[in-house]
Amino acid sequence: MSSHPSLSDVDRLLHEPSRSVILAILSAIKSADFLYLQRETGLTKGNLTIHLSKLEEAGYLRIEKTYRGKVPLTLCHITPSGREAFEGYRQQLKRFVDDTGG
Amino acid sequence: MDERIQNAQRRAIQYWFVDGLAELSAGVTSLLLAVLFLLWGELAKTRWSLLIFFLIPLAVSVVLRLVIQKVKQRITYPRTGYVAPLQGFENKRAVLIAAAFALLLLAVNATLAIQGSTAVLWSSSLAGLTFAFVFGWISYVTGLRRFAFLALFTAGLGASLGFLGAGYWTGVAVLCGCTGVILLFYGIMGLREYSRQTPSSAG
Repeated sequence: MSSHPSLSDVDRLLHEPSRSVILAILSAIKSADFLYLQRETGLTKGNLTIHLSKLEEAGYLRIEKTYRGKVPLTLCHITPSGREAFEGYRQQLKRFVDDTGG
Repeated sequence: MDERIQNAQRRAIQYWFVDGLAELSAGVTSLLLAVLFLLWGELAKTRWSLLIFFLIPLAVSVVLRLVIQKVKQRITYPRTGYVAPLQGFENKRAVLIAAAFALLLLAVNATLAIQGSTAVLWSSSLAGLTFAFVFGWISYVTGLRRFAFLALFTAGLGASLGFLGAGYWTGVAVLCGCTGVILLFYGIMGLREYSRQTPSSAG
């Protein structure tokens, strides 16, 4: 009996498009501030804050509140577990696409 | 979905070229090197020649870095936000590329040393290849085609200067000068487009 390709066990936290894009961005760089992530995702401030909080609760993201001179800055960093989870999610997607002949 | 992820990552890597400031800075440095190479004939007669040749570009690059930071704080960060690149050994690919580049430079210098004075005539070609390697790598990593053009241009110009028999200092000066002009053009156009098309954040 052949197994059908499935995304049933995919990480639901990352399967949300905005959150996967957030981690995609952070996996390519050291850190990014709130404004950059907002512009890249097209989310409102409220929505982005919610997504960042969920990722932080899961341990995929670390939020650092700092200053650049006198300007307050909210910096987001991907954590090692976040990087691992994102890579795993990406591999899963790729396998699913390959198995379905996409 | 994967394309969306790839595009997001690529745009993050392109961040440092979004406002044209990197090209402006590289253009100024390149033109300065062109002047130094052209003046090398006179500089070499002084006892401070090596010091001048290394200290001036170093001082200028430090000043440029400070100026660029100030400009970014006024123009780029309020518009696009702030991104910190992977640094040092965090970016394994960059380390490998830097090592390959260092080996390339070593090979270039060894070739010149072994060949003797006749190799000097081909120094422009070898310098052009070195420039092409750097620009080609930037183009590959960022997906920005203008750097692919620069890679082809510097390789072609370097080869042409070698065939024409341009001396080392003159040839490399011409190479640096032409590259600097193109980089300045890229930088000015990039900064102009960026300022016009990217609104500042309203707080």
